[in-house]
Amino acid sequence: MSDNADEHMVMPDDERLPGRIEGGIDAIVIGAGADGLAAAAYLGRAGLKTVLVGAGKEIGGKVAVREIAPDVPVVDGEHLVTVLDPDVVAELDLYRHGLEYAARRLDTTYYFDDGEVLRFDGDLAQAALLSLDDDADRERLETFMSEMLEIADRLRPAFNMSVFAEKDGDRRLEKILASLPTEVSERIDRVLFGTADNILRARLGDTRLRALLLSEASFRSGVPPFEAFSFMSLIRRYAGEAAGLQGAVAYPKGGVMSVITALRRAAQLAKVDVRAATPVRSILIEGDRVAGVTLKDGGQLRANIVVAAIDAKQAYMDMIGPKLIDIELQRMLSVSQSDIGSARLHLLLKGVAQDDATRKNMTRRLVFTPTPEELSAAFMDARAGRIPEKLIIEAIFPTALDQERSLEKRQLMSVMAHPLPFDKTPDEVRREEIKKALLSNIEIFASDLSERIEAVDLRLPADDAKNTGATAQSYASKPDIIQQWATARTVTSAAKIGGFYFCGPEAQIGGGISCSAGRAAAKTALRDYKRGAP
Amino acid sequence: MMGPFDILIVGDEEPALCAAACAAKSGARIGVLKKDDARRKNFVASTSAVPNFVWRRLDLQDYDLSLVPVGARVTLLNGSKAVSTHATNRDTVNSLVAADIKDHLLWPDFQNEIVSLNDDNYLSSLQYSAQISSRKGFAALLADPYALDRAARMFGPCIDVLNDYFSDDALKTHLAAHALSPSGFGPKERGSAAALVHFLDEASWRVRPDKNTPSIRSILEKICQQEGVTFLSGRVTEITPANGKYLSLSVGTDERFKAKYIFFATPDTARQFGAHEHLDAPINAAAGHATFSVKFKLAEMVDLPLGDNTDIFQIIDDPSDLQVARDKAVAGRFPKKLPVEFEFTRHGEIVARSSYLPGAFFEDGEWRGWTGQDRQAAAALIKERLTSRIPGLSPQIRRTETDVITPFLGKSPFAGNDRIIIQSSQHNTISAAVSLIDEVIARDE
Amino acid sequence: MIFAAEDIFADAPRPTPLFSAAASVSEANLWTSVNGWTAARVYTAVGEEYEAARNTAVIADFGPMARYAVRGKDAANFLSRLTTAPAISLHVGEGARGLVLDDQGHVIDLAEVSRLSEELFLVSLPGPHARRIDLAARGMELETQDISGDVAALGILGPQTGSVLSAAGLKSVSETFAASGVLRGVETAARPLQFGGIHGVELIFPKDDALTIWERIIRRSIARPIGLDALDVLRLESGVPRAGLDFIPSDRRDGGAKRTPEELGLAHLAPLDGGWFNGRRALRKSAGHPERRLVSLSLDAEQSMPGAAVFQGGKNVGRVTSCAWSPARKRVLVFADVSASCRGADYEIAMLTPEDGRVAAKRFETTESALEHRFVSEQGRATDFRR
Repeated sequence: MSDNADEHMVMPDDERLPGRIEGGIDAIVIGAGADGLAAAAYLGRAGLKTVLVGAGKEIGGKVAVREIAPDVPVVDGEHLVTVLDPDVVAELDLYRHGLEYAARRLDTTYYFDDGEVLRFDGDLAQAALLSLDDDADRERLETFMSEMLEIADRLRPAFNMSVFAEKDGDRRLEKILASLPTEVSERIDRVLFGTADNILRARLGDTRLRALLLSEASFRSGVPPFEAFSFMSLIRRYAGEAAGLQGAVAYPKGGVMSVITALRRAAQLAKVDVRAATPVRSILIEGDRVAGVTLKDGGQLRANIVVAAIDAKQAYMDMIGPKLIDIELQRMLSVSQSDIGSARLHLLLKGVAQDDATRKNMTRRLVFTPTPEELSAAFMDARAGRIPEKLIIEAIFPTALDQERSLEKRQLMSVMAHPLPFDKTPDEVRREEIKKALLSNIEIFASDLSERIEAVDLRLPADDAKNTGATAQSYASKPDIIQQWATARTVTSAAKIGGFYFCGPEAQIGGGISCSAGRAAAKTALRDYKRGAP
Repeated sequence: MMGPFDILIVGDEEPALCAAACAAKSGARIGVLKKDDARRKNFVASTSAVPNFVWRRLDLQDYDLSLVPVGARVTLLNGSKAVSTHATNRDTVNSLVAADIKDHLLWPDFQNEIVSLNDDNYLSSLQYSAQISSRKGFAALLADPYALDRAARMFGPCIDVLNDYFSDDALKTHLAAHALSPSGFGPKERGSAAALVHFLDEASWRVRPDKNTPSIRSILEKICQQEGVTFLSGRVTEITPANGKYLSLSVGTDERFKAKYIFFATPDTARQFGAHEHLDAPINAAAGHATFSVKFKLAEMVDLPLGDNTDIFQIIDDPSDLQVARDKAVAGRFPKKLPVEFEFTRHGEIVARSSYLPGAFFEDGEWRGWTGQDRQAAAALIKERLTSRIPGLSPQIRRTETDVITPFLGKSPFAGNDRIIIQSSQHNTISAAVSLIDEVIARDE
Repeated sequence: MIFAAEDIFADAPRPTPLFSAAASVSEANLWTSVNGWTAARVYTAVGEEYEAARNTAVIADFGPMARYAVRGKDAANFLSRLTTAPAISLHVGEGARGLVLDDQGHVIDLAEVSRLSEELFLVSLPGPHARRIDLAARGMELETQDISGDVAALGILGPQTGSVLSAAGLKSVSETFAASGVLRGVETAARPLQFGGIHGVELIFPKDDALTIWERIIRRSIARPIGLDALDVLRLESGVPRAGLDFIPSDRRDGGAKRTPEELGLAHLAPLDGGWFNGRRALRKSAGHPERRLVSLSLDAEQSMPGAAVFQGGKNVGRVTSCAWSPARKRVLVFADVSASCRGADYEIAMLTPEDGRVAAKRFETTESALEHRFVSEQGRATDFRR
């Protein structure tokens, strides 16, 4: 911390609170989540004296470690790696900083409520290896998958948006997309608007295949599968990469927290001054440029670059304020409030797997797949504020996936469930109802569940928000892809405040830990910095 | 052997005939496949306006055609509350002031801004068909934050647009009810805002022919015949790609002909033929919705709580009713508080309809089609809704006719074909259908 | 204070609160619609009304303009955001002109802001902006009220404004400070006004009392009514562009080309070194690179018309956007939208028929352009964002 006497002056700030003014800083990053850490690491590596301030007690944003029982730690936030930006992994050398996968390309087992089971290979290009009896179905699926993976791959620049960090990003992206092969861009045109329901119905004959892909398309999405643009959520997922494989799912050693740990190490190695429990009150703007931030404790940090890795409402409305942002930007930030969210559930289960098949399954990603009708009903219920009867359950067993985390005679099950009504402030009754609904859904494929439960822990978006100081709404499910693109472009470019960059959750397309927004923000900042922007 | 056609238009409702006449007049070879539903024409009281450019193209002044704009758009809410909007901003503002709706000041800006959302046309044209959207469109859309914002609003939920503008629930309910009524969408659904945009277009203000003049349909049929449009009838059984740019169609048992494009002038026709697939976004293909119409022949004109027999009415109780009804319809069940639209024909009958009825019913884990019992139940439901607002209605009813348009179930020969163009607006249908067919012809050249 | 363009295709306009009084003194009975309100084009004769404004005093019905009362803790912040007028630094009684800009720095409208008390402002705009005002107020502590239809607004203009006020028993109205209060038992607001270089005051009354005041002024003073046509001559002489004619508000549908303050010759109304306002950051980026330029030209001819082609060095460089005959200059004055690359003061304008060819037109300095020139030369020293 730069603490020398010259900078140690006491001055009253806006609110007439005595506070210390700290200078000699090049860049301030607000928000200690994955994107904030990545942005800070990039800035630090480029030689900028960078301070990262996070509001929460721990570093990591909503990814946090918590004990649900003595010596049973769980990781909040994410439980799998699906869309981690490979450029970030390579450029920040995350493998060297301790990122290691306990399991790569997890196979997925889909359970249906009629007791049927289907399995997908972890490599989606190999999807045909799954247990399908009908050759025609398998062939259709294979063609479908390869087409979708190609579209997804081609659309990557549109999803990670890092192209906008480059000079004339608008025109570059336009060029990339305009130069796609006709065949591909026609396919994009055909799926962009489409509903997952219609497209899958038209492309796949098998009802179970349709049901499982519907679930994949709707999982974590705020868009019901029978509404416009719903198919694009699937394409977004398939454009992601985990452990070097497109569309794959991976489990890191130590859980997703290890991504944070690696990012933090990268940042520290880049001499980033990382400060937890340092909430920011406001972003200082002088003229049309940022000048630093004021802290809740009254202190002030001054720098010519401020990167906000927090939600847009906090950054723009609370820290900058409507008196200093354009009317149009404020309007764009206020539309589209998602009323759907996901929930996390951790179960500590007694006993160990008795047979090989079960053991094997516990190293897979398990997805409980409702029927299309049940899924439709679930979204309608969730949107109307009711808890759905049937929903999508994604479960993994961290204790089975990662040997180092195995517990004696017990198993830890980590669940993500979707869709649920999004509550800003859920009460106890609501929590109990949700817990009950999730457990009864899980019991469909794990019948002896109830007598094995030793501990249950439910985590809702509002809990994560409380922990990180974020606006709860920003942890709700993402809206449709067009709205996401519109919002992402707006939050990253529309403020036009010199030296201010944004990489909060709204800057990312789709869910999951990606860091591409953090990378893009840092790269843009560095480009401006090197150009000597005033 | 008929054809080959440049464009085969499926359906012969007014927008289809207008598109056929205009396209034929500009030299295209047009075929019109008549729908086998003479009875349905009975249930039409008003049509979308004939915009000036169409009027001029078809020289409609040479025919004895006189179209009268409908009076007002009225919503009869629960209790005695009612809202109405009118053809001119001035009348609308006055009526909102009279109804004590303080959002009235925002009305002119709302109208102006919402209609302008349609100015971005990549996604609009994508809605019609991947065939006519431009390659550059998607790239240009992503590169422009303002275009993205417009697109996000236009294709987002209708309720988001309304909430962003207005605070008065009655006004929001009124607009959502009228805008979504023909499509049966819910206001929370993505894509439903597009209906609002189309609804606010000038050319969406509906018209009726004057009492003693020929119907617009008969005049359009006459023009089509003069311009050499071929009328066909029968069921399309198969469509296959033929050599070059043509599709080969089988109609009935042994008739075959070729056409470059197949054109649906309204989304309802497309849905009826099962052609919508991925193009008609917010609809669940299996369940979807049915449009149910009832015609009541009256002994005497009834007293209305607001407005007169030139208006178009919506009956709705609560702002959330539209979404609740939509959800029920998609789930294959009857909604309890059915939103109903009604108007008067030029002969004084009431035509009432609702698109918030299930396309098929979901019972015991199975989908099943409409039965006579369902029709009776739907008619009873609609009658009950009407009497809730017009207490004196029941004794005046002399005859009741019903009709239901259900979505196509099963495998449609039209589904999944690239060369199918579907006009997607339910409001400014004539204007949109003619503009779209012009675009198809221009692209083809 | 400038009127918006007439709405040519509008429905029949609503009568302003002063309509019946205005109609009773109108000999010409020539009316038009501005923002949906009645507006007199001429009362007697354009020339007479114009001379009266220059030499004695005139009164005008300013009812068609949009007016909002803004009250609350954040009122000054709100207006400093909505308009480029420095509302925060206004003292009670002071007023300022400004522009309403969108977030890309394009001009939506002109505005005048008067501070009536610590937390009460009056803002007058050529056109209504209900939506924009609604949006701009979000997240702030204030109340806005559209008072356009509820109040009567009458302007007294000309060198003898003072004597008109005293003749009407309104001596306490200041020609330099805005005030609100109760005058002879009637709730009013009064503020100094400038219309086309001519000074005066604007009086605002509740609707019901408007007629009495108008009557009293007409009866007891030398002031005569002035219509839109004569006011437009004054406007062109002073060089203030009119929304809907000389530029299209950037938020209007099918608005066509959008204009920055600099392109309208109004850079001095949107200074980049003062307080923040909506669109300033975009403006900073575009400053110094105008594409078009709105210039005041005087024409050696008896008439011209909007749309006429403007030439320089034989090349078509733009078009006339509005024009009027100036009795004082004995020339037609026009606003012309020309390419920013034009240099010098000499232009040519095409006449109505091809046989008449083109006529020489000269750029002339107006009150407004003089303000801009002074501003630009001072700014040029302070910062280097401008040519």
